[in-house]
Amino acid sequence: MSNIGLQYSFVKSLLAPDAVLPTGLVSDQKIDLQKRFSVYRNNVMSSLVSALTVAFPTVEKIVGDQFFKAMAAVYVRQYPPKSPVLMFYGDEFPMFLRGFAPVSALPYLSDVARLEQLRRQVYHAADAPSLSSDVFSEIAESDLFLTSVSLQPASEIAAFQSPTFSIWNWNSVEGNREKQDILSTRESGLIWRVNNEVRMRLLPLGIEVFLRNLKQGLSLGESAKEASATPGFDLTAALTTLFETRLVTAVNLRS
Amino acid sequence: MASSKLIAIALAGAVTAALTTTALTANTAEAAAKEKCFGVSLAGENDCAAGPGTTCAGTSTVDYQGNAWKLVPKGSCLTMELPNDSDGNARQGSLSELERDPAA
Amino acid sequence: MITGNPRIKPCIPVRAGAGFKSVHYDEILNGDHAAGWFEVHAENYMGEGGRPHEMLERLRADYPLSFHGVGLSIGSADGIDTTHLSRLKNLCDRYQPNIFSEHLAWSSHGDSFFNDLLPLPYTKETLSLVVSHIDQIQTSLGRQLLLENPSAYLTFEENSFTEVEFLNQVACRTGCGLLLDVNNVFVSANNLGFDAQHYLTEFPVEKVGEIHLAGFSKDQDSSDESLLVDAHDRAPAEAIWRLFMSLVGRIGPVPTLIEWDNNIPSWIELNAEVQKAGQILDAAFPLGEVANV
Repeated sequence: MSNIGLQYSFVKSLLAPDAVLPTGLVSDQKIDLQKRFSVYRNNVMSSLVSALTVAFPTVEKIVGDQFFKAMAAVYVRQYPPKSPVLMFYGDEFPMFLRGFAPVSALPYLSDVARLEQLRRQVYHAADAPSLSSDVFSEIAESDLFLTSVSLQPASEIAAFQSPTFSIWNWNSVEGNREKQDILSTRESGLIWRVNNEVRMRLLPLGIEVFLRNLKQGLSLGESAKEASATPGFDLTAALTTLFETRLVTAVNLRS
Repeated sequence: MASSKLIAIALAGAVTAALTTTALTANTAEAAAKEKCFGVSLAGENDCAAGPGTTCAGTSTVDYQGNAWKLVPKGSCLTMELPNDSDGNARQGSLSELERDPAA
Repeated sequence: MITGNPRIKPCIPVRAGAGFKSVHYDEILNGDHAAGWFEVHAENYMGEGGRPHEMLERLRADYPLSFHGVGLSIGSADGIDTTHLSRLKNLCDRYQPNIFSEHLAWSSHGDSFFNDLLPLPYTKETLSLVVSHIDQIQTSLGRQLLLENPSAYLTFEENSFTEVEFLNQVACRTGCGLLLDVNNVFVSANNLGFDAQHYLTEFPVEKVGEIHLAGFSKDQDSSDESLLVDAHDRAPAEAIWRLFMSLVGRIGPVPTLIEWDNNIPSWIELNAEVQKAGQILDAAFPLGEVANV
């Protein structure tokens, strides 16, 4: 058999436990081929299932270890990694969970997976030095409206239809179980990095709109104007969030 | 939506106020925002958000044959009360049993 | 035998090194220990920034580094993934590792990556495939690759070379060096029924730039034959130490890594194994030579 034919039949048998083994393998009374081939099957499956367990620890806590492993095995067979860089493996997992019937009673599970994926993206995002917010005091008042900013590559603004940040917190942060205080059915938040650690904070709707617009390149004035359509939008609070989180890496004055 | 003119006027005052607040809260905000990983960090990773790594080692301890299996969900979230959804139905749900591996 | 050894001049200190795990980071930077260099999986540093690069840069400042690739899929029937190769080149250009090594195996097919080192038949066809892939990699990276012998659980009827002949041919035709994993030799010898000592005697030791030592786990065939798995989940077994000792006694000391990737031990425990390897290397030095290149 040609090498390409061999690898094709090897792969077909790898992910399908009941498939026949590839031909051309040496077998004798000392070599039990089923057992030997299962070493490769197990290596592939268990390493990828454990990759998903490391990637989605909160989803795992919610459904339990045994359920998670079995569910992850279904995912691995459907969506094997496309890249040898495994730190981001699981891009399709949130979508997979939305359609996976056995977890249909947990509609927030997909959101939790998306939050965990965003946390990893922020963790590995490019480095960029933050600008001191003092530069804003040097911008002429008349220029502020048209000023735009660049935000940290290691920052994501996420909106969920379920209280995803609270669910994450409840499951993942020590001592949070007693004082859980979930106020809303939908939550938005900022995920960013401080000293290379991932942080998260909830954002009121208006501030979420403000930061999202800034990230897309709108000016301070345009971003504030759109956010002001949201009831209760507080521009001072929005700018305080922007400065406290040290998200700004560059200020661009419209000349 | 506020007019551009109003926003332009508001921006100057808001920037000054926000800079003052940021200066005052610089240290406490850092401390309050610090999240602590709990039980999710595998050996080999000292940050819970790092995600999986690669391996060049094998394993012999797990078996992923596609036999039928029944599961009892044991997740910690099952006893957690979530706000009701818009229909007033409790969000707290139970997991269906996955009777067999659909991909097998 | 030892003096005048024509082996390739090592690119990393002829000492024992350790696989770097981030849980050991603080202890490595703080304490006295036996590791003269560290090895990392290149793929785990292919994110853009953040903590992994902060740690690796710090480590690079203090120690020689070896990059061990696990994703190039050198034996792949459908070619080298050039996107991955350029990621690897960027990483090597940034950190300038002392050594880069990869495996004689394949792990990708089509557009899927299986995260395991899958076996290759040793034929004329696969030899020219591997040779051309290693040419491509070495040309792109602008550096020599060390190719590692795999651990095997089964073998192919159509093999026309032994593994040692195959590795030697690849090294001769590409100018690559070899990484000799003593644990893989022992595991394969047990599983396929050949003599590990004989394999090592035949091995082109003059091309070896690095040695790996690791622990295996024991399973059993249904036929009651013992089946060893290259699990890297414990200290190297006594049998591995004996093979290593006789090897370096014969060929002289070679930079040697303790690989421990699963059930990661405390740094104290890992360091004890590194120290043990270091002492064996020291004892293998010809009189008058010093262990630090």
